[in-house]
Amino acid sequence: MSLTSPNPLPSAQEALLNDFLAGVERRAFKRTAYAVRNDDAALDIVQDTMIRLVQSYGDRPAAEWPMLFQRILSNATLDWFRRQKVRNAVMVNLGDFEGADGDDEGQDFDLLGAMRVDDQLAEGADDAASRAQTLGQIEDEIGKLPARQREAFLLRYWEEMDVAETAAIMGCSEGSVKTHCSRAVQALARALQNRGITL
Amino acid sequence: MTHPVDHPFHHAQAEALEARFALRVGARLNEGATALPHDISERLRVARLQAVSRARAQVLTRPAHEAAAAGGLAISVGPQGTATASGWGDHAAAPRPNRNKLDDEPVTWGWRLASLAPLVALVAGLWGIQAYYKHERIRATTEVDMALLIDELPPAAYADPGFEEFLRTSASDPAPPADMPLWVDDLIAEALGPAGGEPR
Repeated sequence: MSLTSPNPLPSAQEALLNDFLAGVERRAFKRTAYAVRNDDAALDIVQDTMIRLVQSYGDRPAAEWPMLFQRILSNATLDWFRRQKVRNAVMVNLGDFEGADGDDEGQDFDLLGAMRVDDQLAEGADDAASRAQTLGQIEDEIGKLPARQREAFLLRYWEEMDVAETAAIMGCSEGSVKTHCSRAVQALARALQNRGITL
Repeated sequence: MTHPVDHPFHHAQAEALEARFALRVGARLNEGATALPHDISERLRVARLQAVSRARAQVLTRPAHEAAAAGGLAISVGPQGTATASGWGDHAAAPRPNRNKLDDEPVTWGWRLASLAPLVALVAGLWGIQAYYKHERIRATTEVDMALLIDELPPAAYADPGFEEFLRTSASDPAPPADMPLWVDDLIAEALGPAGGEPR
């Protein structure tokens, strides 16, 4: 029997959905992999996020998809942590997510100096191998960040969300987002400087 | 004297430097995301295509479900089997019970009647057994009543304690007939005596 439907999915909407997912899937995978530290689990989470998005919000305007996708991805990642049998791993990561905003007071890093050093050395050209090695080290350091700081940093500066959108996705205040981002930047700058990495 | 960070200019400059550093990190991360291993890229692509195809199937199956719910013409959709088999979409699975119910309705009634047959047989059997035992009880009572009524003794005699004692003793020691000669009695006593066959 031939398939006919009075309301077929508009091909333009389907193409938009496909293009949007193609544009975010790699970053979503990497961001999830930083959190769960397991590629297979990260793939499952991203796929689940894609399915949830198209199932529940596929008919929404395309402009709403980025925030919805990131919110669903964050929730899916949290769900994954909740499902883990290893209680210690769950407690560590959830503890990071639930960490207080003011527990790192007094640990300001001389970012200005680090930036100046970075600025001075930023023009140096790296070959492909050293860049790959540097990338691996950066990813290691990002993986070591507390979960809330990492999430805020990646949403804000990788997914290029603004502060309000990041706060909405993370379910916290804009001030908390700024604090998380600032601490993440300082921690990353300190760690990379200790490794002798310049950007 | 002021701390450099407290100055608005330095504060804004620090924020700008943070953003600059963070964006550089983001650019490096983009390089890493672009250079994902081939297997991961393929799995992501397949996941994306599956998600989009499921979105298409979901939209396609929704009108069929609504039409069936509204009593309209049922639409049989073949290509949606993939999405339905993988657990996607309640709308796709919903029309199936209605269609099966309509198709199987005569068989269902036949099976319902057939399933009642053993119960009916059981009830009939129990009723027959009860009727048989009732008939047997009535027949036994009738025989007793008939025996009492046709006997020479009146039924009231059986309620007399003296007659009952008479029956008990007479059953254990029967009396000889009145017209039996006395020498017969002697012969019997001699035969049943302790000496057995000894001569006198």
